[in-house]
Amino acid sequence: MSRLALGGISKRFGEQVAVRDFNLTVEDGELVSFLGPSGCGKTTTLRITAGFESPDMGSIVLDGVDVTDLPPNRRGMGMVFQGYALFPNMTAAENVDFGLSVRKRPAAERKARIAELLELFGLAHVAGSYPHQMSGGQQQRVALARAVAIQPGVLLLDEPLSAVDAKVREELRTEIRRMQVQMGITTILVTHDQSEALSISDRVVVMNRGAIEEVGTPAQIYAEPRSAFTARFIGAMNEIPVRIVSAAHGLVERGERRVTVAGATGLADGELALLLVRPESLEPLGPTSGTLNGDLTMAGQVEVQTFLGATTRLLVREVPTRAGDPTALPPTQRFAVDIPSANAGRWPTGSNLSVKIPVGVSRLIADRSAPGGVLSSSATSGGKAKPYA
Amino acid sequence: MSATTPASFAGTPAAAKRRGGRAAITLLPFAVLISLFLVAPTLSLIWGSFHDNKTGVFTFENYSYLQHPLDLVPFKNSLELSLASTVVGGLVGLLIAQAIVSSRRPIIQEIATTFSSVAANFAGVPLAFAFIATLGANGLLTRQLLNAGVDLYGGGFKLYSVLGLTIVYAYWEIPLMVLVMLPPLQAMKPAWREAAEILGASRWQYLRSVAIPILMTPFISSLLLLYANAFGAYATAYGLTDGFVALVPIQISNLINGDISFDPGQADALAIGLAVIMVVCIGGRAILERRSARWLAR
Repeated sequence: MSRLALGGISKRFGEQVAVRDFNLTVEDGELVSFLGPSGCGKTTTLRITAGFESPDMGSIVLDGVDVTDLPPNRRGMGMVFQGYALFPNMTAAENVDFGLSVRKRPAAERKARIAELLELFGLAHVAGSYPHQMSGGQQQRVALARAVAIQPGVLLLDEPLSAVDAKVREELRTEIRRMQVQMGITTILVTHDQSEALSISDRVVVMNRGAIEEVGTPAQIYAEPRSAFTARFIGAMNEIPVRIVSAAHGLVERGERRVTVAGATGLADGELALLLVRPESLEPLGPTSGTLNGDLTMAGQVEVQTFLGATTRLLVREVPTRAGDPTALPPTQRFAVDIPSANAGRWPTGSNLSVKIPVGVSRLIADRSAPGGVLSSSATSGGKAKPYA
Repeated sequence: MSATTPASFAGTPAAAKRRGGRAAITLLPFAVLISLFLVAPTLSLIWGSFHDNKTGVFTFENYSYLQHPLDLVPFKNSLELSLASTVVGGLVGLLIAQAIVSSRRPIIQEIATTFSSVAANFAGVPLAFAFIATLGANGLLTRQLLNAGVDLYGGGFKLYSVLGLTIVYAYWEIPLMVLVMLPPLQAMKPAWREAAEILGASRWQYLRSVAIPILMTPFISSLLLLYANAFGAYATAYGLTDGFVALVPIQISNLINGDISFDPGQADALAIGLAVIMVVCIGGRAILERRSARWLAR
């Protein structure tokens, strides 16, 4: 039996639809992330789950019990808020104790539990400190310890790392995962940070305009996105124009090359479409690569090199193979190629680069965003579609 | 290769000293103001309170009022009046401020803040006159109530008494309380209530353990301000009672201006007593404010 089931949740604020027919079951001990851009309904869904908002329709079932109409203080859930929401008049230990105290647990049990949690979160040395005397990371740990102290049926995390700096964020997300696995707490994490969602979740729920766009493991979401929105929202993505030659046979054309791809069903012959391919999937071609069969290629001039650590991203301006090619990138747009940083010296700024577009790992979508055949090539960064212009 | 740091380099102690010097110059007008209108009068008061105003000889005689119960009546009246107006103004003001915050409508908050700012500063003779015209023995409201069968003055009410003064003082104490309590009430994070709620707390448990302890500091601090404000008020009380109710500021005035009771030395000593009470109130408020600011920082 699933630990938590959200069935047909819908919520409107006036004319605005915040959540639309949201269905999800969360298994015991699972960490599920709600991921999406601002205003996609992820926080509203979390607040409905917590009981701070009432759904217009739908039900919330926890351990087989319908809790839809129960107030938050009777749901047995724990929550970590965006700004920590630590009680400023209480020390770290008193904050952790709060939930135990209102439950009237025996003093000895409370004392032991507080000591155990402060130790687990590395907070023993700040037990007597007030929130304003602690760093952001310490405050966040106290908020986590406070939320899990009551041994909640479900732990809800509302953008818990948005208020800490990048380094602490990385440390804390690992810590959250470690704690979650160690304690086996069923957890829902709301975040707009895709790296956060992908790195610590068992499953990711991608949300868009109040509805679930897609649910899957981080690997599925990243490597095999089922929707164009997910493909564009998660990670960086090139959108390479192609023309549908025969939708029935999956035959597409780019420049002088024609290849067969999957996913052309539903597209019209002669229509322009976009081939979505990640920067790390584009393979640079050397002078000895020879003739390629079954793949498309692109060629251009490297304009910018961006060092990303293990990899370096090259932003390349395409040089079309023939003039007037409708599938060529517009002159203002660039495509991105990720290469091992060790090889970055081979393609300095200004050098020419040819890449193979492996159609097997690409996804074809209709070019709805550019009616009339105006082509775009974009990649996402930080969760928001951003053309390389 | 060695390099010498030029003296004009921005981070050198010399540069820091120059910047400090410039800052001191900009503070000079303020320092002059404080010296002329706070430090010098205070020193003059202290000196005057320990010297006989006729002979100039050092004496404790001006503080003899501390040993005579009758001479302490102005303090007793002022303490009672300030306490009463502080309690009324504090509680009513707090409820109004909470109602304003709960309304969550910016327009109401703006109107209330503007009105409170005006009302909190509407004091002195104009306020006394307004109350005499409204609630005086022949005031508009008094007459209308009389016509309706309610005889205020027949029932023992007097505007020109400590009770009357309490009502008049409350007129500016209430809006002052609204003004000083709005920021802390607005700084209360809804997430604190939600956090308490999801941890299992009832509304009362949240109020008792979180909201009241957090708000207690700014509340007490605001009461101290109201108290100091009421204790030092002079013009309203004088305008309303013509100096017949013995309050500390009025007694000081009598000792300076009076023909029979002219005694500037004792006036200085009374003023020192008043100043001590003010310093305790304002100092206490400053300490509490610092604590409150840490808790309610946005």
